[in-house]
Amino acid sequence: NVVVEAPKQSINNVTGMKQKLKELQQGLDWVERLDLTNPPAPPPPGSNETEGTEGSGVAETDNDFKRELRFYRQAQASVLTGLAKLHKLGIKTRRPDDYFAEMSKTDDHMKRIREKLLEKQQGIENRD
Amino acid sequence: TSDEPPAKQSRWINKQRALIFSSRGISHRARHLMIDLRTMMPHSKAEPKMDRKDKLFVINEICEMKNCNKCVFFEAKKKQDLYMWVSNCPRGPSAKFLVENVHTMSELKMTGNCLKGSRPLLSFDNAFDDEPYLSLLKELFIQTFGTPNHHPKSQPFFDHVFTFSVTDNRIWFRNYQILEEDGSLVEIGPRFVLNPIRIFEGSFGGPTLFTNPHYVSPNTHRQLIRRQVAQKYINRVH
Repeated sequence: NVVVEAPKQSINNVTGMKQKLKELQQGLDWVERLDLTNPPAPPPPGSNETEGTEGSGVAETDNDFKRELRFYRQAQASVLTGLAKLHKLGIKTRRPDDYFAEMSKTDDHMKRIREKLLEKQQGIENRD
Repeated sequence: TSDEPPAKQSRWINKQRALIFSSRGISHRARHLMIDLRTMMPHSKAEPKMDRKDKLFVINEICEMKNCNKCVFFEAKKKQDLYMWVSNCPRGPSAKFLVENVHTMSELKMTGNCLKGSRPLLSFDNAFDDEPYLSLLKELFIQTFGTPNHHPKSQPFFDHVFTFSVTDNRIWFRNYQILEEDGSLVEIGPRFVLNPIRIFEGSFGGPTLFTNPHYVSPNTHRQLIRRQVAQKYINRVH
């Protein structure tokens, strides 16, 4: 006597969403927003990766390495086009070497990261 | 000469202010994620944790008092499930997500670093243009997570990129440092996955514009797992 719940109706109000999107948009220049939409960059020549299995669902999602690589490539493609766009607008992107400011991660934290990396490398060498 | 009044700073056009805060009872990991977001977003403001019994639409008033037009609100349930609201206050839309697979910036395996307050490039997957709900979320993310140009607390250089990518009906967030301008990157963190649940027309309420048919609530998910374990025993008995 189990009450079988009717499958929930999923809502997808396309016209409402389009209207809301129009309402939300600000019509500002690209430099105010810095958004980029692009597919992942192609793999570098020489790598023996098989392309064409893009977005092949579950297999890719569960494969950490493949998935992260895809995100990395996507960011890479955006960086290349984004920086080119900024340079075209005459905006400097690189931080000069003598420019110091507060970083997101503290020096102390970065030191710990370096120590950990070093430790890892040492471990590999010791094993060899 | 120094007698002249300083040039008026009228270059800051895109005045986005995002309120980032949470409900009571969030886990340490969620709290760290929230702090990471605040470090990465110089246009963000903080607010003490909200009582669990307060209704969500109170947030609209808090935003108004804090002069914020965007809000990122973390809601904890059962001390283990983390939900995230992203809202455009007070007119909407707002979206509710389940946050999964959180890795924070303080983890030692992510070796990148960037200036505090530098403006991120926002990279989106092509899938964001295919579905109406994803395009709406994209616009919401751009306005919320993007640092406004010439924001007083921002830095004028570009050394990191936020990546939003759609895989498995979820939105995956990554933050990479731009190491060299030829496109070599290192991950800075944090990492998280947003599983969209619902998009509302208003801010923290209003008519529903979208519900995710692929969404399984964590309660149902746990129940399914428990049932599978039980099934194993039942199969053995019969």
